[in-house]
Amino acid sequence: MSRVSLSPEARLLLLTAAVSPNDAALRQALMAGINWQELCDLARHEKATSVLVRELGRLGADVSNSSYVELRQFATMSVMHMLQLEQLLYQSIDILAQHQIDAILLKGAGLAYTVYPSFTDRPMGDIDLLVRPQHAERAWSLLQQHGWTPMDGEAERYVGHHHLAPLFQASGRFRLEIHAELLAAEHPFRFSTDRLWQHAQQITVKGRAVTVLDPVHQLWHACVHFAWSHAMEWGSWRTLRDSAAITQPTGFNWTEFVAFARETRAATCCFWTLRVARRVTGAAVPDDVLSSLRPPYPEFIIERLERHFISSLFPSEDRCPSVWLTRRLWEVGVSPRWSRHGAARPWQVSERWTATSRSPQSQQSDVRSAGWFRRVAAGITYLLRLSHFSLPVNALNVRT
Amino acid sequence: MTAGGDNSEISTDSIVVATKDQVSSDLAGETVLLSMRSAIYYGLDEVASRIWELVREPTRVSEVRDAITREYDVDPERCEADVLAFLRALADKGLIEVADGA
Repeated sequence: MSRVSLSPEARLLLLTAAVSPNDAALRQALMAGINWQELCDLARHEKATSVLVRELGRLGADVSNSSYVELRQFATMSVMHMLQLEQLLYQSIDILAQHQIDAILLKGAGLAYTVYPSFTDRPMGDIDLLVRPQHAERAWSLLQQHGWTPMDGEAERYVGHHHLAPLFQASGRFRLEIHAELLAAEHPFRFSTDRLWQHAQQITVKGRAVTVLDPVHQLWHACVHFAWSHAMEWGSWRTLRDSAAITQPTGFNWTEFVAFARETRAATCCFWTLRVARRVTGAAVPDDVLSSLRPPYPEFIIERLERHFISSLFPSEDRCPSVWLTRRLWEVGVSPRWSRHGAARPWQVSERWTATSRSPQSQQSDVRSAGWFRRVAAGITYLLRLSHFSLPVNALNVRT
Repeated sequence: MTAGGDNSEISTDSIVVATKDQVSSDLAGETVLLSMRSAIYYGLDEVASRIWELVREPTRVSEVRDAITREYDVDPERCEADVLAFLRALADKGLIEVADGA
């Protein structure tokens, strides 16, 4: 029986998510027979091209093939995108500030200015701004007076959603979302957005005051967004890299983080994101933190689930072949009942959306759900193979 | 200071500096530049990136020439001509400002 394993390309990419990627591990990964076209595709999917090219450049890797040239081109385009996106971010927060609308930079933009050396060091697809609910409509309208436009007919679909209809510039190349809340309404977490506002921090960026989440809330949001909103299947590379970067400072307040994660019923979501981040990036997550957050299973169950979640980080033929099984494994890992999540599940959000539009994800679900018998057989095979899954070697485990 | 003026006046005695109308980022030894005035992107190769790094702070052109000559082992005359041509091109595009040295 063949082993379930991450591809050499996935392993190489994950190494670049470490705070200080290990040269020996990177060189070892490069010698594993990289399919450069697959690496390029994967890096594009994860928005990791510029970081990957920088790391290969730093390593002095001797690569000369057409796919690497293509990778460099995509990396250059990514940097161009980020340079322009940053200017648009400045314009947008200046406009909101002129109208006395406070905004918190969420996700990538907030992290870029707090845990990364520069904006271009944290690739992102869009800008996410959290404003107070009573300001959301006005912020959205104001930005439309300055070049941002929603897609036709989208506004109604977003009524009651945690963010308003996305705004675009330059034929959709740049995207911005005005959030009134942090998460979609279906979420099961017990937290108040007001508390995030109270603990938010002001920093200065190019002479202007900008507001970002407190580091504890940044990590919490990264964990919940990945483990719950994306069911640990989307935005993996960036989340794991962010987790490693946020927790790198020795002064990170783990006591407060653990208390907040447990109090908000997000312990298992935080556990899985941090456990996987530690495994694949060497993120500095203390043992006692993981012990405090873990679901009530023996270690061998945790290990099996970890193998499944790691095998699901990126699109791959080795991924779990069944949507049904994927969801059940997610439920076992996140333990909604133990976590007191009630009936809330992340796929309810996507199902609500597919009720109004056909998304690529729903088409994929159709393919993955084809044939009950085949699905069950493939699922059983996957579970058996999972017990032989070889966990990736993280940056800390490779001897130099 | 002038930007985008008569750039043939740039000499080895000129002091040049990157304007504020641009943003740039390093990418594995190369540089991606965005002119905010024209919204045009530029890609700089390794040597051009080194020159760009030098002129991010006010620097005399002769110092740029000397640094490049020293670091890349090139003929000084050829280097001076190439550095001047490159800096004039940057000034034409409004990416550096030029002031005559004392």
